[in-house]
Amino acid sequence: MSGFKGIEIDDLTLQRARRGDRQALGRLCQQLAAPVLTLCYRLTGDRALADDLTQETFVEVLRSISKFRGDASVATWVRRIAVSRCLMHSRSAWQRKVSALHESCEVPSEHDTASRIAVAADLSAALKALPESQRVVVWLHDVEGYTHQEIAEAIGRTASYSKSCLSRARARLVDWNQQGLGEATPSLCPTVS
Amino acid sequence: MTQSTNNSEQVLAEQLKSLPELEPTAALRQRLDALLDEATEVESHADRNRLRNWGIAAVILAGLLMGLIIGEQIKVIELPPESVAVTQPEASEPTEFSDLGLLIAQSALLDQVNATLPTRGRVRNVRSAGRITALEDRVRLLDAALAQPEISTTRRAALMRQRVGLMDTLVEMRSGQQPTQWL
Repeated sequence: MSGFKGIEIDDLTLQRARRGDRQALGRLCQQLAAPVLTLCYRLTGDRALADDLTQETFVEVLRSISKFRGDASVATWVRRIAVSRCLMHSRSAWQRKVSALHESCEVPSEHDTASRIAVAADLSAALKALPESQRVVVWLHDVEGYTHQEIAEAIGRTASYSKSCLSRARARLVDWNQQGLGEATPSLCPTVS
Repeated sequence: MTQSTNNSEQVLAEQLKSLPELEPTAALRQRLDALLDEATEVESHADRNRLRNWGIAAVILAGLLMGLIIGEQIKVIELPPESVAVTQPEASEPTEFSDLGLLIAQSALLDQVNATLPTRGRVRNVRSAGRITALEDRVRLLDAALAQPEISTTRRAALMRQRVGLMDTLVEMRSGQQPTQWL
């Protein structure tokens, strides 16, 4: 599940963090570093980039924590910053891909059969192999619990586009899983008796 | 949508949620620690230096104001008596000169603050470091332009205004603080 769920920052720590207390800020970073890193990695598929984006996220957190109003939880606020950083990084590449795809989410797969089988055996690798738009949408929707409207606002597209990407992402993941399975790995499609 | 499709989507969602969380490497934790050290040290460092820097600014401003006052007195003394009645005061030049004086003071203050910011450690990633370098290059170009001997007060004020803006952004980026509201 989303690494941000269940993270609670007590009021005293938050107050001290907002005043720039090193210990309080350290506690905040310690609790949120792993969820932020995981989110950045799942959205980008690149570990080194995820490290950079994690650092950028906390730069913004440190810069803005004194202005945090508390209308959402600290974890939700930090997650919003991390998502924004990831999407800002890929925006120019995103736009190029969108125009090249002519408003569809299709990207020709470059994997040969053997690679697709290997990918299908590992959901993490399968997720990483998705086109960026589909990867972002499926992670934000299915794991982070974003609505299509929230995703649309984040990526600068429509809710319909988000739904379409989600549908294609799921179909691709399930298809890869089915093609690569044999009997070795539990199926994503339960057997209907 | 069929029941089977719904089920497979639910299973997929559960499996995605079950993917393991990544742990930051020691190197990333060090970077985050350095970030915290810089942010909190700059905060207390800025508090300690703020009074000193305002003091320096006050001295500079006082010096400039004294220079203005003395300069105006010299102008009055040097004017031939017969020209006093008919000479119109040059309204634009004193105003530009006083604006320039303030801009010079602001720029000097920002130079002081920038010089006190720690340079050790890695606060930002390569892209931010590149932006800081670009800002510093632009400031150097402005300094070269300001060093030209034949430059009007108006031009000098315009260049100094740009310098103040760039230095403010540079200090903000290096310290992570909010930009100061300059005149």
